[in-house]
Amino acid sequence: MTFHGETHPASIQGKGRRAVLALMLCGAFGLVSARLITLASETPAISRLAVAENAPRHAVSRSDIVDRNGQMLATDIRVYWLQANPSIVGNPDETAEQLAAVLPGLNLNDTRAKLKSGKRFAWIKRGLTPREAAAVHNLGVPGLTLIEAPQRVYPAGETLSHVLGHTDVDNIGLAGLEKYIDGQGLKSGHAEGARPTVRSTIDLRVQHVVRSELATALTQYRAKAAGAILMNANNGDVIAMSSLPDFDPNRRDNALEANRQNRLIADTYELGSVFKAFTVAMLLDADLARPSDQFDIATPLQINRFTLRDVHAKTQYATVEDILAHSSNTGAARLGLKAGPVRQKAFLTRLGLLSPLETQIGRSGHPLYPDVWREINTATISYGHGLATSPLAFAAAAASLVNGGSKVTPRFMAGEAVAPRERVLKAATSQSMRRMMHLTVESGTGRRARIPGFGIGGKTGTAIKPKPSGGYSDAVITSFVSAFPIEKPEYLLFVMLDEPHTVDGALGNEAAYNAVPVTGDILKRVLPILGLTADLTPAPRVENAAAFLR
Amino acid sequence: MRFVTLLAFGVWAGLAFLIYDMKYDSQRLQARAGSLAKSIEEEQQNLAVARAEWSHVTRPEHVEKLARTVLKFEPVKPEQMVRGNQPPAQIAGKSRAPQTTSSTGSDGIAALIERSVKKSGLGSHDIPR
Repeated sequence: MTFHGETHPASIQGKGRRAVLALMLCGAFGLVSARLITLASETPAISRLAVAENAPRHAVSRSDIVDRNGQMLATDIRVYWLQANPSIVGNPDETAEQLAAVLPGLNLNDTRAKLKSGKRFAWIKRGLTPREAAAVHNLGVPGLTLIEAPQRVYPAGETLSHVLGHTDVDNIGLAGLEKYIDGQGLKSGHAEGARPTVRSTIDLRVQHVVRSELATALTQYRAKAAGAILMNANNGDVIAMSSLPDFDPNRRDNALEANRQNRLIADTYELGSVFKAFTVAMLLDADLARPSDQFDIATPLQINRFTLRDVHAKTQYATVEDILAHSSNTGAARLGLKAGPVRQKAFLTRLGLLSPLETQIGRSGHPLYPDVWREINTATISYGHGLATSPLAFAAAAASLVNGGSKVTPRFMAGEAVAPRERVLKAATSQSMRRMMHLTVESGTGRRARIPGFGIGGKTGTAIKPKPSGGYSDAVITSFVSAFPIEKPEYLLFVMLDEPHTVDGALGNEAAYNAVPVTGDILKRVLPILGLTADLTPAPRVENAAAFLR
Repeated sequence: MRFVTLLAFGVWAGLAFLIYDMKYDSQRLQARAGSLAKSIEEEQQNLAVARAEWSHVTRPEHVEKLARTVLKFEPVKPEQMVRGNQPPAQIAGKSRAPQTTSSTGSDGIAALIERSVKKSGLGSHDIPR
């Protein structure tokens, strides 16, 4: 059957239109289907965002710091900050009482005043523990908001404040190791689980002993300040370092109070007679004298208008050994003059005493020394006046005297590369110094630090403090540098007291009556921790053997 | 022809349902992963707090105080540390372990702790979490 007009051009044209329409419809449906499939197979963007919302705190998470035995010294914990919108808090009195009940230490009146202020924003308390935060949350008071925040905590408390330093509210290191870590790029971008651990060279047990003995000394001798450094005499690892008064790093505001600086690094002191050890070492090293050589100590020394006397001199002449053991100023000055200013300056430069010391917890104070190094300066510097150095730089230089003559750079972080050891003294010089320092403790000014069974060597120093206005005051700085076991020193201990007073039973305020016994007290407790054993062979004590055997 | 069309439609519908189902499944899994990640993070936070608290209560200062007051201990003296090869006759054995009579037998320290806990009435609730 055929229709009229089937072959009409318009009909042929209509077929073409239908085909085009069908094609277009198919294409449109195809596009929609394709889009649906892609949408369905895509990961929904919204839920990904929801997970990411927990992440921002990672950005400020810091490395944990542990001591050489792995005891935690600093870590991050999550705390909550409680803020309020007082304008929508319904019953300020009741809310304040409820908050005071769940937050110990919250001032009720302050909180009530804050909540009644009618403002839009007030901090109620920062640093809530998760438990406290849950308790506040359970109160269900509208207008109270809890914000999560990371906070640096120092579980060991104030013991290590100066070495660790502290951080600000944003968890950025402001001082000490914390600042150093930031500089090393060990700070941010770690998920909490993968936080790196930074190992310090400090031994917290030793640190605690050193600090607590120092704190006892501070009150006992009514001193203004005190400091001590215990370091490995060979590789420079600082085992303990305490400068009192210190602060609690968990309370950030305390760190900025007056007199809280780390005196052992930030300040410089004229340390007095402990410097005689360098003078003697200088002469021995340059073969200008032998330990047994005699020097005049009784005749006053005249340099220009300056006269130096030794009122304590018991004999006319003394050996180099005795000059050190009994700390004669005229003797040391004569020794220094024998070497001369040029040699002395070169020697002290070689030991690193004339430039600031760069350490991982900051740069030491710049040493103060005369621009023009005259004979008079040489004479006074020979017994430790006229040259001010930071105690840490001094201790590092003193380590070279006893460790066989290698230069030592103090370090506070374990695992750091040790610089190749530079020789600054002859091994023989170091050996003589060890023997002389041993003698000082056995029979000289360091007797009060003797511990039976242990070889300890040391040198005392009592320096008269310069006045800010010039000249010298009556106040003293006493110090004692010791090394043990002196036969082959592993450790060096430097103890310093700022303005100690004469106490009952003591003959004066010199180092022998304060810095030395303090060293003895520290050593008594530290030696067993360091694993050093007594050698009691020369003086056997048998009276208690029966008790021991039982 | 009609059969092929129906088959194609059936396959298309089946695939659409499959994709729909998988999409919801993946969303559910994602939510679960999110909540697991959140609880892991939560646990890590708790762990960090626990570690900090452990370090705080085991700090030498605190341990020393407890050892002195509760256990009546004193720091080890240097003369108590001797080399193993020294004959006992040369050792000044001034201090001995405190004598205890307890069920813990030879462990003197455990006995002391046990006794002082009993005496002071300290319970487990006093032990920091």
